[in-house]
Parts: sequence; C-alpha cells; structure tokens
Amino acid sequence: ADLPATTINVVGNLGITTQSKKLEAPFWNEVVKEKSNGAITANFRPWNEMGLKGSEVFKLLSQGVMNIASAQLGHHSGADPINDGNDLAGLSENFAQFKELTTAYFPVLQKYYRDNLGLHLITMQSFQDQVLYCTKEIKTLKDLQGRRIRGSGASQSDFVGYFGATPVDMSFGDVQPALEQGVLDCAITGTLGGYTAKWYESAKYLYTLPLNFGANAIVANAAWWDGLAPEVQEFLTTEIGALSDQMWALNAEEDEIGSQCNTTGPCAMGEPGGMVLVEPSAEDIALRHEALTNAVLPGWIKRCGDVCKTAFNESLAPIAGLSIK
Amino acid sequence: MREPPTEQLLHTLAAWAARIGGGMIFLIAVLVCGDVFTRNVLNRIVFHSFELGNYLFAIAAAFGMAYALLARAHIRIDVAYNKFPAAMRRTVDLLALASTTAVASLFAYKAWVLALGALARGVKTNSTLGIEIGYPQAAWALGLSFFALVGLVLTLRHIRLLIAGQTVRADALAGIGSEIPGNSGQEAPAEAKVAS
Amino acid sequence: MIGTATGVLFGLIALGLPVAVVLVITALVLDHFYSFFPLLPAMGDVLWGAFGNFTMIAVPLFIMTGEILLRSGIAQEMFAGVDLWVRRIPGGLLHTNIASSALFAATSGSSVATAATISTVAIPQMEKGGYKAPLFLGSIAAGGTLGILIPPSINMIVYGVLSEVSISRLYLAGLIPGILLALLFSGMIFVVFLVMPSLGRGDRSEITWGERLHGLRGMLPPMLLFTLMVGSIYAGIATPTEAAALGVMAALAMAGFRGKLSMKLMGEVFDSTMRVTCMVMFIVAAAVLLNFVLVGIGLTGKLAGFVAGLDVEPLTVMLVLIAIYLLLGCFMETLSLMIATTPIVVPIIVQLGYDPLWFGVLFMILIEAALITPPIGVNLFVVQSVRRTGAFRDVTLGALPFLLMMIVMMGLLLAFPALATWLPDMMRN
Ligand code: NA
Ligand code: NA
Repeated sequence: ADLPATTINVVGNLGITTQSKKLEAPFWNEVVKEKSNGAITANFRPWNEMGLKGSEVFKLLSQGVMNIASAQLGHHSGADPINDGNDLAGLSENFAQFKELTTAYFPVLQKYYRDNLGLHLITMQSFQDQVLYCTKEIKTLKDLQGRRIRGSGASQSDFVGYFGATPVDMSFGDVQPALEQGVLDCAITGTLGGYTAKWYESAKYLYTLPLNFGANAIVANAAWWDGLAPEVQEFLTTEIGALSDQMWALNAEEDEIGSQCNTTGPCAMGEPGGMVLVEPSAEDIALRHEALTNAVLPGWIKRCGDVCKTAFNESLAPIAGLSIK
Repeated sequence: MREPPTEQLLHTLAAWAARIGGGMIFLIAVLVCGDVFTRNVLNRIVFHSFELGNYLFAIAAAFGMAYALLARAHIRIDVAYNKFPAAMRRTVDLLALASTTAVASLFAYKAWVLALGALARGVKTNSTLGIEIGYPQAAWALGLSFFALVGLVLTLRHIRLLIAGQTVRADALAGIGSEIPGNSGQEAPAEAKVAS
Repeated sequence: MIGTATGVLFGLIALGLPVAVVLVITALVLDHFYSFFPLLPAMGDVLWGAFGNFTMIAVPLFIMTGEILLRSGIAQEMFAGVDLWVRRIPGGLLHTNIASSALFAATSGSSVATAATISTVAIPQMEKGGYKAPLFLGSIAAGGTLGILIPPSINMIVYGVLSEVSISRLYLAGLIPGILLALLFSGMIFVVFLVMPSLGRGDRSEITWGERLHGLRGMLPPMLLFTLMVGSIYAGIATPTEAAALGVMAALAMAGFRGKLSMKLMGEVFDSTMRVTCMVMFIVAAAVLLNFVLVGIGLTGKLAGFVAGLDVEPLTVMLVLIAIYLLLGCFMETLSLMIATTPIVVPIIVQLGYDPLWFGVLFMILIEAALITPPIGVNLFVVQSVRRTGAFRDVTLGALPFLLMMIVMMGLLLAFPALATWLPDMMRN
C-alpha cells in the first residue's frame, strides 16, 4: 500500500563528520524518498549550520522546532545526566561491549525520554572510539599524571582527573594549535575525527585504549510521532533502524581506518599521520576499571542521583559486571 | 522640560551598567590571563575562564544594550532619512525607538523563558564546573529586560516631547547623527600630533 | 522568497530603522511564511548561543586593547610615527590610515576593533588635512578589514574550526596576502590622488631622516604587542583566543609604563568598549536569528547545491562562488555568513582540487569585502558611528574603490596560489 504523503523536518548531527556526510544527509535527502516511493520527504539540516551548539537540540525537539533530531547524548547530560549511562568513561571494554550496553540501555532511556521529556527515542548508536592523542610519550594511564588534557563531558573529566591530569575546556578548533604549541599535552576524540582535524601534525602518540564512544541517538518529538499514521511509524522505525545499523558499521570500520591513517597507513583519506601506536596493557585495563569505580561512577551518581543508580543497576550492571551500591 | 527624576535615574543606572559591564570584560581578560599563567606555571586551571568568561560576556553585553541605546550607538542608515521632511523623520525616529523596544522585549521574554525553564529543570553545564546554567541565564535575561525598560521609557519620553512641540529635544533624544548635548562617555581621546 | 527578503530588508533599513531591529523583523517575516523550523520556540536558545560564545569574547577584548592604546596616546603616536614616513606621497594621510591599520591589524584579531581604533585617531585629522570625506573614510573602513587577514584573526579561528584547517598555518598563510592587499590599497590611493589632487593636499612639508627615525618609536608598542600576541601562540603559552586577553594586559602595562593609567582612563575605556561591543552584539544576535531562518528555509543549502551541480571547469565554479559570496556578503553579518556556509562550501572546493588552507585566505578577503559592502557592512557602521555626523553614503561610496582592490587581490590569489601557501609550507619544512 502507498504511504500517506508526509514531510519531516529533521535536524541532524554535526555536519562536518563523515557520519553526517556519508549516511545521515543522503538518508534524509534521498533514501527516505526512494524507499517510500516519493511519499515521504524531509527537510534536513545539521545543527551546527543552524548556529546551534549541540546541547539544546533535544530541548528544541521537545518544543516542536523540528520533528526528528539526531545528536550526541553526551551533549545533553547537563540537562539530564541519565544520558551519560551507557557511555560513561571507562565503562565499556571495547566497541562490541559498548553496543551490548547500548542495546540493554535502550528501553530504559526510551521510557525516560517518553515520560520526562516528551520525546520518542527511535534508535541509539555510536560515534567512534574516543582515544587519547598525546604530544609526549604515553605508555600507561599513570603517565597522564600532571598532563593537560582536552576532553568533552563530565565523565571524561572525572576519568582523567582520577589519574592526576588537568581537564581543560577548549573549543575543538583551538585543539590542534594548542597541541602543536604545547598548551595541551593530550586531547580526546574519535580516531578518524582526530585524523581529519590533523591532530597528528602535533600529537605524536595515539593511545588506543577507548575511554568511551561518543554515544548518539535519533529521537522524535513524541506528540508529532504519535500523530503519524501507524504505517509511517513502522516505515520510519524500520528505515531509521537500518540507517542506525549502517552508522554502527561505518564507525567500527572508521575506527580501524582512523587508527591506520593516524599511524603508518595504509590510508585512503590522505597521507598517513605517522603517529606512534600505543596499545594498552593488561594493567591499563585494570586501571581503567579502577577509575570507573572510584571516580566516574561516583561522580555520575552525584550529578544524577537515584534515577541513574536504578537505571544502571537494572540494565547495565549485568553486562558491565558491576553494580552501584 | 527637564528630565523627570525616574528618567534621570535610568540614565544613571544605564551609565553604571555600562561601566560595570566594561569592568566585567576586563575581568574576563584577567581570568583568562590567570588561567594562562596557572596552566603554564602551576599546571592547573584555577579560574575556569573558558566557561565563566562566556557568562560574564553575555551578562555584560545584555546590560550594555541600554547604554548603547541611550548613546544612540545602535546603527541606523540615513540614506533616505536625510531627504525626509522633518515630520517624517520624527515619525521614523519614534518607529525606531518603538521597534527597538519591541525587539528588546521579545529578547527579554525569550531569555526569561529559557532561564526559568533551566532553573525549573535544574540544568547544569556539562563541564568540570557543572554550575546551574539558569543563574547566569537569569542575569542575562535581567540585562535584556533593562534594555527593554529603557527603550520603553525613551519611547514614551519621545512621544511626550513631540506632543509638547519640543522638537529639538526630541531630535536630540532619537534622531540619527545630531550632536548629543552633554553626553558623558563621549570624551574625545587625545588627538594625534599629525600635520602639526 | 529572496525577493521578499531583499524587499523587507532594504525597505526598512532605508527608512532608517535600526539595522539589528530590521534583521529581526526580516527573520520573523521569513520564518512566518517560509521556514520549516519555527524560530520563536528556539529563540531563547539561539540568542543564548549567540551571546555565550567563547570565540565571540575575543571581539570585546580586542576592542578594549584598542581603547587602551587610544586613550593612553599610544595609538596616536603610532599614527603620527607612520605619518612621518608616508605623508609626502600623493594621498598623504590616507596612506597613514592604511599603514596604521595594517600595523594595528597585527595586534588585533578583529576588523571592527581595528576600524574603531583607527577611525578615532584619524577622523579628527580629516578636516585639518583638507581631505574630502568619502575616500578618506573608505580608506579607514577598508584598512580596518585587514584586521582579520593579517594575524591574529578571529575569523580565521572560526574558519579553522569549521574547515578543520590548522589555525597556526592559516595565520602564516594570511600574512603575505595581508601585506600585499595593504600595498594594493596604497597603490590605488596613489593613482587616484595623482589623477585628482583636489581630493586633499595634506601636509607636504619637509621631514628630516632624524624625525622619521624618531617616529619609529611610535611603532614600537604595536610591534611589541604583535610579538606578544602571536609569539605567545607559537611559543605554546596561549591559544589564539587567549592571546586576545594577553593583549589587554600588555596594553594596560604599556599605558601604566607611560604614566597614563588612571581610574578615569579605565572608566572611559570601559564605556567605549561597551558602546562598540553592544552595538556589534545587537547586530550579531539579530543576524544569528536571521541565519537560523535562512538555513531553515534552505537558502544557503540551495546555493551550495547549485554550485556543486555546475558541470564546468573548477575555475568557473570558484568564480561563481566568489560572486555568490560577494552578493551574500552585502546582506549577511560575517560571522553568521561563515558559520552558515563554511561546512557546505569547503567540501565542494576540496572536491574541485583546491587547498582549503588557500581557500581560507581567499575567504577572508571575501569576508573583508562583506564588511564594507552596503547595506549590512559592519565596518562602514563603525566608521560612521565614530564620525557621528555626515551622510552614511560617504563611507559607502568611499569604500568602493577598495572593494575593487580586494577583487584584484582575489585574482592574484587565483593566479598565484603560492602567495598564500608558500609561507606555511616553508615554515613546516
Ligand atoms: Na589581525
Ligand atoms: Na556587507
């Protein structure tokens, strides 16, 4: 059967990322129209082009400025600290476990969004491994002691702070020169994001222990969503689910590409960055766990309270192998 | 028609707001330099100027808007204006003040909705400081409200001056480009010794 | 729709309503009739974003540095010192305006701050020297734009962030084109005054080399400031944004060193800084709202799509892009223009085979052009607001010949890309 004609206003994630360019923009600009035989069209704009900062996107969504939005959960943890749950620094061992945690967390977050924010959570996905780019040699997490590190979000701050590092707030564009000139010792971002921003020009060591994964979500305004014809809801849930799968795949692939491009290659995106690849040791993985239990989780519960404690213990604890008392 | 006491008070308040706002900009410079110093010497960030600077600037700029309005610093173009007859010019002046007041009121209203919403939901900044964003937003909204209030008072005064036929004063209050009598804060800086 | 926008914008601005107010009205009208993303529920957040932006803070800091230099007489001495070297050239003080602007640009990352500082010093000299208003004022408005081409530069920071080009390399890339553009401005002034000496004679009296060398002392403080602000970045002490704050402190120290520091001076500095800052911020806030609507409607995206769809030589596409930017630059405030278009345009030019570092420099010149084209040309406003009397048209007309030189400079960059890329490449090796 033909779907009823529907126009959707979509605000997408940061437009300069490959995820936006390769998947999100083509999806809304072309794919939905093709798959729906022209019934569904979208007006798609990345939030940065509209002059937004990222942290207000879901609030504007709940106020009906757009119908669907995609944004980083971490940006919204100031308003609702529960957003940090599946992507706390040090929580996931690796990309695969992060995906498991995300799947487990989805119903919890979906309920919270519906009950508290007037939003309908459609899918969740990752960005990339958030790793350390350092100018001076780093062998273990203990080497972070005394270093100035640019990260994003409170849980990353808690994490590096645990090792005696100073978290520094700085706009993304200032990071590359700040590394080059020594204003910063290290900075945290995705493996490919750091390559395209040319951080390798100044940082020489890529420490591949992922701190977290830049969790992302695609969300609809609940009132608008509920007013859609059921077949349109179904269509969107299916297609956005497929888009989300592609994002997971792309990010897993780009993690690999990013690591190669930053170090010795091969790199299809340009010259290899020539950074030294530092693999974490077993000791580091233990240290990461220590930071999680001693600094990151207590910090998060302090910001969030019982809501997060319950959410964590009910959905994440079995997979993470620890619970919050 | 001397300025009534309430309006004099507003003038004084606006001048003080600007002075304090300038001081806040200066404070930003001090905090940023403090952070540059402590980061390089003590390896610590003490003042969090990156975040505090944002709030100080937003608040200072909002409170300064009224002063800029009184100093007639908000830009208007005079290409056609200069060719208008006097009555038309004064109508445009009144429109300019009234529309500025309307926009300032809209800004202030939206700012309050934002600030009160943030306070009600307890929104914190997602940073090391983690302060409640609603407080600086409320101060910012207050500054924009002051802008709207001064706009309203100036509009009403302009109307009264026009009704009273005090056109010279009305033009001095709301015109483009005429000299402002006795405007403080307009002291000419020292002149260059050129062509002497 | 573009017709509606232009109609509303031009009509109300020409009527004499405040520019910021007109931008808000235009935004509301376009929003009401055309936009997919309603502005009103988003307005509080968008405004807060416009006011609370760390990069934006650099603007009042640069303005404050300028005010301190101005009110302690340091800017005047620089101006007078420069004047001793160039006054006998046909065009006299106009060359002083350009050279002083270029020198001041090396201490300020903001075109607005550069224009505000040089206007305050230069405009009182205009009548004394018997110069006709338009070209004289134009030389200040245009000279001021060098503030963002010669490092440090706020707009380069913004471009670097959006296009993922290193800001330090952008600074190096802008240096030679900046100096060259200043020379082009001066060359144009020279020719115009040769043809039309009636534009103003100025002081042509003899100057000894002793006097000239003495005049160099006036140029020392800005040189020191440049060394501190750019040096602190390359020495790893401060970020490009933080360097603006170091500039305030250094200017303060210089004023103190000259015994000029007082509560009265600081009070005047605070007042002036706020007057210019708030004038600019009102327009910026309004422009950010308009940008939200223009992007919401899809205007900027459609233009970029049009350019990307052109099936012609890369050079032709580049020329079309330049034409579009010159047009958009007439109407849009420059920071909004950059934020709205950089993410769309940079991928296009990279695909065409252009270097984004090189394009950054070309882009700066386009932004400079936007600052001096009516109806929304912030540098024109600044010069006019310092001048306070006379028609706005004078400034607008006087800036046009300089706009022509900017176009010439863009031609040179297209013909010789190494003008921008040579210095950063050399510094890397
Ligand atoms: Na500059
Ligand atoms: Na313009």
